[in-house]
Amino acid sequence: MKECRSGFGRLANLRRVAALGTSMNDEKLVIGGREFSSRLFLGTGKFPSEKVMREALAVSGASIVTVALKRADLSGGNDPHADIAQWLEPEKYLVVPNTSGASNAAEAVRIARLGKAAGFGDFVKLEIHPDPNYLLPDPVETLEATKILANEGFKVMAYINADPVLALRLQDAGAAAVMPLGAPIGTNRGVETLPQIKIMVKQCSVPVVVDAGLGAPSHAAQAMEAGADAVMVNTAVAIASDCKAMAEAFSLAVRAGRTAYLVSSGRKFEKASATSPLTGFLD
Amino acid sequence: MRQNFYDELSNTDLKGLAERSRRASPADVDRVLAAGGAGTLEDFAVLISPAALARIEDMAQISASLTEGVFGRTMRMFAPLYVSNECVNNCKYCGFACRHKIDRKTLSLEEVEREVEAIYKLGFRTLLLVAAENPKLVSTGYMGECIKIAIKRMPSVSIEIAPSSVEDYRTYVDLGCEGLTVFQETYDEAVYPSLHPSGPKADFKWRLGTPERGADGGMRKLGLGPLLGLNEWRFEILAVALHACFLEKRAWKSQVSISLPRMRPAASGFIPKEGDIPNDKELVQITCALRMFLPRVSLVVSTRESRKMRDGLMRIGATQMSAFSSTQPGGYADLTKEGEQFHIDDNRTPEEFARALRERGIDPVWKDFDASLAGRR
Repeated sequence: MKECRSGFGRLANLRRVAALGTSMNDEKLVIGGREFSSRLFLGTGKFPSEKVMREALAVSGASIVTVALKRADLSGGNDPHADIAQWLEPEKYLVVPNTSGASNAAEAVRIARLGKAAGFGDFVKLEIHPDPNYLLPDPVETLEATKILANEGFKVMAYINADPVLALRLQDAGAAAVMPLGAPIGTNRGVETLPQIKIMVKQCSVPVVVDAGLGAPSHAAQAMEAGADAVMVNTAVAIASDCKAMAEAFSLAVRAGRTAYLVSSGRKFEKASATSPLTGFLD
Repeated sequence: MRQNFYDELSNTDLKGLAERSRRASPADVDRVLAAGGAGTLEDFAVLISPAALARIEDMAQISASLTEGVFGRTMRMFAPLYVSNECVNNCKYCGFACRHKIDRKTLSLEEVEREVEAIYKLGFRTLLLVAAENPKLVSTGYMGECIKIAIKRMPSVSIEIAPSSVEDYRTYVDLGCEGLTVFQETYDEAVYPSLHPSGPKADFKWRLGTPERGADGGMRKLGLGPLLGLNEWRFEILAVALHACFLEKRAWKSQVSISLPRMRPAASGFIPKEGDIPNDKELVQITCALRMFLPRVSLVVSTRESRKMRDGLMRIGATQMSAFSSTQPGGYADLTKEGEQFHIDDNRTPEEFARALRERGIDPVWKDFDASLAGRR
């Protein structure tokens, strides 16, 4: 269970930050019982070369790096023409496979199991998109697959539309984290779903990781400032003219947004508080 | 919305639109470019106009940026495997037409296995099985066996074969088949019969409905295309764009790709009419225009095109490419084989081609699907 999101919790959080003197002593992100030092996750698609990808991953300090199972060798072999995973460095970050390409629960479950059998571990980023054009996640199939995979011991991180009720249903079904989209994949349009994300941050007890659509570091900072536990980025870094510099910019933005959230969370309430008390006449 | 593309095509005045395209003004072009893309088929027609040719560099910049956003800096690599050139059709323009005296061959399953192995050794993990139309030799059972053999080695297998039924497509999908490609050749119902005088291919409407049936059978990828050189190209390009647009609704679970093959010399001796084949500059213009109208559609460029064109298009809008293709059955395992459908132009090896991609900051992607997604291996 992550930190409490009630007003009292926020105050406690602020006091902790104040006591420690720096927001860099933030508590660690925990997903599926595992601690992560960075709140930035990176994807591995769309990069111009494995070399550029590895440089970007290294400088980003990302704690989770996702890889599409459809681009990996699932036969258990090490086919150089079919294995993007060969370029990753699992000693530096957790490599989490995703089920991209699955169009329904049965397919996602099948490829997740194959991934596990091929040595990918318990974590899985569940992506189910029957629509190949906008890659929008199917809520019905995602809930179904989460039930099955969580029951088998998978730590399911579910990619979803920013639907707070669905997030709670997934949490109840055993998801380890929910990953609401900011905007459709690859659009770089920012956190267009911010109002719903804020509700999810308040309601969810599992981590909320804003995924997809973050096109600029400022978008990542905005999501973090709104209380997201982490953000996931891919396209914006992979197609930047300098992938490495952009990865670093995202890393800084995530820290900036997180610090702002911790600092402001004790003071900034949803409703404005008047500077002079309105109930002074009662004294 | 209309339920089949035949009705959609019949009720859209593409000839009128092609005419308006030819007369579009520079001001029309400015307006569409200022919007950063084509929102309607009318806008798309403006982008393929003679007036828009003057703005080809601007179009290429927009197209490259749109392509990068959706597909990243990657190229999906694939290889065609011709399993049969024994055809019952008699198409006027095709090297496989039954009237030609060429080496005819339908591969035995052992030969298919050898070809798959040879293609695997070249580095490909995405395979397109191609067959001429011959219901006796290239039956559903035979194709199913070919898919089963190919999938043992290839994580992605698609087919380009004679139009078939939803049931047949479902059978192939259950075996792990990812996609279906069918070239309409020409979308002009008036021109079609003279080019396809006999054989099952003479049925324009059945062929036109093939992608819809493929989608209903569960095909995840649908490949479309006219054969450029058979008819006035602006009409054909407008039609294929309309087709892709239509399928985005009718077949929302499938990803559409468009190929724009230009006629190449073949045993047929068919001579295209002057101006029916877009020149190099016009083909680049068409590629950019398609990307600006349909940002998520995959664009395929085969080895029919020259090295120069392929190297240029890989940076502008192409997202799928083949390399070192053999268009004759048995041609990979035995490089001396004869009986090809057409001559290829760019004959670089896959390795050489991959190097050319990397030099331009594009990562070749050999595997981008796993047959375990579609069916059981």
